[in-house]
Amino acid sequence: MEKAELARRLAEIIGSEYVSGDPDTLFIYSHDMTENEPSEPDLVVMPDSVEEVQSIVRLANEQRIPLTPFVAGANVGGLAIPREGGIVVDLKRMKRILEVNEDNMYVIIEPGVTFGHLRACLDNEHPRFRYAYPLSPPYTSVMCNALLDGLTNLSTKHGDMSEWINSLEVVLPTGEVVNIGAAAASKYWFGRAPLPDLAGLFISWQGTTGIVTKMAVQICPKYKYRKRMFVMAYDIDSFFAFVRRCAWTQLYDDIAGFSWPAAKMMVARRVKLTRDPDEPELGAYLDFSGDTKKEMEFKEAMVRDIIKELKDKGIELEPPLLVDDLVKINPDYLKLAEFPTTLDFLIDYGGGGFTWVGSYGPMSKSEEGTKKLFAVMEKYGFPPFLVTRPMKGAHYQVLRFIAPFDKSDQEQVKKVRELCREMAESLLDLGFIPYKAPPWAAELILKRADPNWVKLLKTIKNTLDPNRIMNPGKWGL
Amino acid sequence: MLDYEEAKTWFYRCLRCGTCKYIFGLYLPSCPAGEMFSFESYYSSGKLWIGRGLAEGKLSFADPSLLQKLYACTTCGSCQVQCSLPVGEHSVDIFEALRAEAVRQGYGPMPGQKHLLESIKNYDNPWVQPRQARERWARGLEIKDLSKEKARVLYYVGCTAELDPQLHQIARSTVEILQRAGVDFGWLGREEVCCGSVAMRLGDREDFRRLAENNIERFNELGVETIITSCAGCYKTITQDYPSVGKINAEVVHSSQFVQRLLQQKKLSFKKKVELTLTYHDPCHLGRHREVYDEPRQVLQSIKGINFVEMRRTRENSWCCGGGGGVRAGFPDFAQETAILRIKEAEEVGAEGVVSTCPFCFQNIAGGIAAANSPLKMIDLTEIVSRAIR
Ligand SMILES: Cc1cc2nc3c(=O)[nH]c(=O)nc-3n(C[C@H](O)[C@H](O)[C@H](O)COP(=O)(O)OP(=O)(O)OC[C@H]3O[C@@H](n4cnc5c(N)ncnc54)[C@H](O)[C@@H]3O)c2cc1C
Ligand code: SF4
Ligand code: SF4
Repeated sequence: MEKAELARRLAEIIGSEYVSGDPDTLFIYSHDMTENEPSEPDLVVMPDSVEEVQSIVRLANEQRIPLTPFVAGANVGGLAIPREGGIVVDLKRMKRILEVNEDNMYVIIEPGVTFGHLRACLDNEHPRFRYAYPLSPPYTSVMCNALLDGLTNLSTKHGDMSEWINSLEVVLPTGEVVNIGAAAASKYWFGRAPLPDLAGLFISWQGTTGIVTKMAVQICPKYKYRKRMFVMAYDIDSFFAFVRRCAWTQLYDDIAGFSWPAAKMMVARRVKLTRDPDEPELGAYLDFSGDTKKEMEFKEAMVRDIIKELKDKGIELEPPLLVDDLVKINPDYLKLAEFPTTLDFLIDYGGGGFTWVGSYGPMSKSEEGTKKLFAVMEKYGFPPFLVTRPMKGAHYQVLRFIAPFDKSDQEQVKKVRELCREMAESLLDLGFIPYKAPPWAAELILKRADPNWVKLLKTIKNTLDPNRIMNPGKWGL
Repeated sequence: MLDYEEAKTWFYRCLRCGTCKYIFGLYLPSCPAGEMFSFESYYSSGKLWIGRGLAEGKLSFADPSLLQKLYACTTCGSCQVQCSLPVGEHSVDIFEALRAEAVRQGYGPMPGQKHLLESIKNYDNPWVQPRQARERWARGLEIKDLSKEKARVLYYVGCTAELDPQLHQIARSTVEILQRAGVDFGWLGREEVCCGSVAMRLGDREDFRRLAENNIERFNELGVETIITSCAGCYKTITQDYPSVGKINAEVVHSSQFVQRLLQQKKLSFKKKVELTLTYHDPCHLGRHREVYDEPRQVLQSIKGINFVEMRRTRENSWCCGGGGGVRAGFPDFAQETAILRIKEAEEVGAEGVVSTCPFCFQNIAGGIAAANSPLKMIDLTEIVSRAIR
């Protein structure tokens, strides 16, 4: 179908003001902040309802036109870049919080609902409840984060965010709308058990199997007290010994760690990143909450006891500092006091490029992985920049290596591509699996994966999306 | 003020993190352009990325849809406040540099804005009015003519308050206040020329420079100590944009600041009660761009009887009236919708009237009030003050 005719048909569905083929708009939607190759869509549309999404999908399916769902495009993996052109479906207008069910502790949201908006809604109207927040910019999509197996400040306790999904409403690539999870058989969107769990057909598929139009996610009680504490470690082994020991208590909401470049960038932006050998190599922050002061005192004392216990074993750590005290030294620490936050210090590198290789894997390999990957980063001239956290009561670990870079410098773009590839290979060697895998990383995963798993993946894709219209080029599909 | 070459150095400093789209913590929209037109390209980051596309030769100023993105922006600066990266300190300057380049290449501004630039060239005001029309508002008033006699203070009225009959009351009230306080002041009458704000905002740097040079020279010849402006746009332009052209040997203050000073010096006192529930709309050019937030509030709050209420988005987080940056002329629907959102916000907090300190905001919000059939009243600060001193 000619582009003009397609635009006309789409305008009939959603109104011409929400269909754009403007060169500047196409340019913007063809890039993200990462090193992934840009690719231009033919059109961008902004629907406002499930029915509109359904009509767009039907038209695309009939005409075999690729569709790429999009909210903020901040996935850090080129996942919302329309690899094969077609239509970008920007879902930002669908930003309603449809239900906050306090009794059953879930909210039903549309794709465009962001962390900032959910936070404001809960704080203002449902103050007994909280959601979990990532380090992402505040206006990224709650739904995308859950669909991408994202991680947040409650993941140490509760696991990745797909585990918070109770139910979904999805527009399938052929245009039917289907309810998944409890929503399929109950008017309460309370969970996914005890039905065959079809949510897996949409989680981590990067929008290749349908467009999710509603999602119920769990909310948690907000406790009366909350504290955040920082503990610095002088080397990788001491750091993970501490993190592991704390995680095994299963007492803490969050135990996240970061390496020295993050700390340096926070206190003095855009400095030349070098570390004095006397300075700590990694820092951990622990979040804990409770309904009574006694509970809080116990959790805080436990951290001090662990530090002492490790010291007796010859492992040196700095005494813990509360975020309130750190803020007195440097107000920038406030950015790490409350989520969602804006990590401006982290993304202001110059050149507007930001990428990472993030992975989930065996906690037992954290030290080895960190050392190996730091060496890779140094080899390419990048500071060893790590964000890490134990997940789901220490059942697995996140290792995320971050590389801000200059996007206007093609040499650096090339170098960062090589760096990311080598980091992904190294992580796979150790048994870690890259998450939110960009197409090039998906390719590496598929090469190593069980061939029957790959076959099943393709069979499922072909069954759900026979005309291969949904976000083609992702997951090698 | 940035030139295009300087602006280019910032194009790669925005990640498109999206933080500037909403007010951090409040999570209410911050960008009128994005709220109205929705696509990524309309937000601050959109324009910065358009800069990249231009720098890479993938986009061109000749494309009318690109111009639409550059000009459908009120230059309100709200995105600047929300962005905490260094690029955020320059966003509006970068947008204006892009507009200036569009004009330099012969494409900008938008068709609906071109007559403003023509009018400035022909009549030294953007409103296609003959020079003598500047004197109409002052009929019956006795004000020193500074082209003939000396005074310590120049009241630089500004084209909008002078030439829109709806706004004459602003100028008349200001004169009443100055006279009541015994200020030795005068004006330039038909010899006043536009400050150049409109030319600057729309990207006509050449004409801006002509006006700025002319005004700087004239102001200095007058030998005044103080220049008072009624218009937030004049105030911003003279205090923020003129320094790149030349130096003015007088202090420049906005009328709200001057009134507050008169109150402090006890040269002015409020005798009458004004029993109204009022809110204050921060003009972007006075608030965000020049950080004048307190003085107008202090003046309002010192008038007996006023029940002062703040809107949810206030001070540096204020929602723009929708009229600035050439939007009222170039995109009237956008200007009106944006004003209506502001009006709703004022209604929500129970205000009977919206007070502001900018004739542009006045025009646009008043237009919105009429379109929305709202019971709200639009009032300039000087009108309230003149009521209270009578
Ligand atoms: C500085 C920074 C820090 C970050 N920190 C974290 C972090 O701590 N934890 C974390 O998990 N993430 C993090 N992120 C990544 C990311 O921001 C989040 O995961 C985010 O929630 C993604 O939302 P988005 O709106 O940007 O999604 P998009 O990029 O717009 O979309 C993501 C994917 O989902 C698909 N998609 C979009 N909508 C739908 C739909 N309705 N149905 C089906 N598929 C859809 C898209 O096609 C794409 O494949 C970070 C990002 C940045 C820039
Ligand atoms: S202008 Fe600033 S806040 Fe806005 S997207 Fe760019 S970097 Fe983020
Ligand atoms: S100046 Fe105002 S309208 Fe323009 S992009 Fe920034 S916030 Fe939006």
